[in-house]
Amino acid sequence: MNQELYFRKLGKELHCGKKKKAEVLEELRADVGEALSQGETWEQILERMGSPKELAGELNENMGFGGKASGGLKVWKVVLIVAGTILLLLLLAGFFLYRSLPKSYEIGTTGLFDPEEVQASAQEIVTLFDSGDYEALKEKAIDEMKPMLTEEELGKARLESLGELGEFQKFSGYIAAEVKQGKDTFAVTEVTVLYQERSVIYRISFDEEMRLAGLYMR
Amino acid sequence: MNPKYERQLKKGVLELLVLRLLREEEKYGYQLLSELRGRSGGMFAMKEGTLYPILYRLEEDGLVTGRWSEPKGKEISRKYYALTRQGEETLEELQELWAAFEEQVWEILGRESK
Repeated sequence: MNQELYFRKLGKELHCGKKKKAEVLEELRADVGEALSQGETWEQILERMGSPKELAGELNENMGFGGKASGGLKVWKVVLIVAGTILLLLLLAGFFLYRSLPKSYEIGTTGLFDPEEVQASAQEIVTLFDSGDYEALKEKAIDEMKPMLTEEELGKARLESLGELGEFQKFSGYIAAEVKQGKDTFAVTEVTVLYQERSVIYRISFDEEMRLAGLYMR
Repeated sequence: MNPKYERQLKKGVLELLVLRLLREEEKYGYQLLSELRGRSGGMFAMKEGTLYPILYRLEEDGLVTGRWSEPKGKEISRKYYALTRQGEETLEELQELWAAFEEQVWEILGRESK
């Protein structure tokens, strides 16, 4: 590496104000000139000073440099890096939050569910529930649901929260959607049923194999 | 021995040595480097990357002043550093401190091992 290149590279690596940089470079150049005139070779000088990066590193590190400008610049760099990192983390968090939030689509969108089958199954669940056929309900449900599907759990829950309903009159309303949460997709239905005393909205979900995966009522 | 211990030990006296050399007369960077190396038997062979930050700090603190020489004939312009009044005072204080420092260090190390 010749002198010109050396000092150009050194200048790039120095973290200080323009004026100080010019001064440091000029002084070092003068020194190199002096060393050469005293009989040192450029190779010997290079070996002592180290690579431009090394020398600049030493100068930067050992020098408060007094340069308010360079000090300010460094603080700004840190602020920018921190702000950038926070922004990136927020974006990542937002991305994962977005992904983990359930997203709903019109029923039939993914092709995983047949809308008519979903409706029929949801109504069947209500019918089985009304008739107290918990064994049949259990057969249709995912394992996690099974312990809930008993007279004690489910029948009492409905009685306590909704009171006596009287006789089933008719299915008076129905909506459905596909909900994607993480990797799983569910068909979620809301079946409105009119009884003698009042109407009840059942929220009934099925997994991709059409097993009962959720049952709420209000 | 890890060279960083040696470096660390020497680091503290460099200002003192530079001030002492400048008390004799104004000197430029390369001259200081050669004299430090020559007069210490190589013990204080400093690199530019170590010397200049020291000079700049001393200058900033008002202990030395720098001036660029007028280039004469073939000679190139150099930056000469000279001790200021404040620099002389600091040098004296540092020399006293060094004496006390040395004594106390030996006190702990045990003089007989010298």
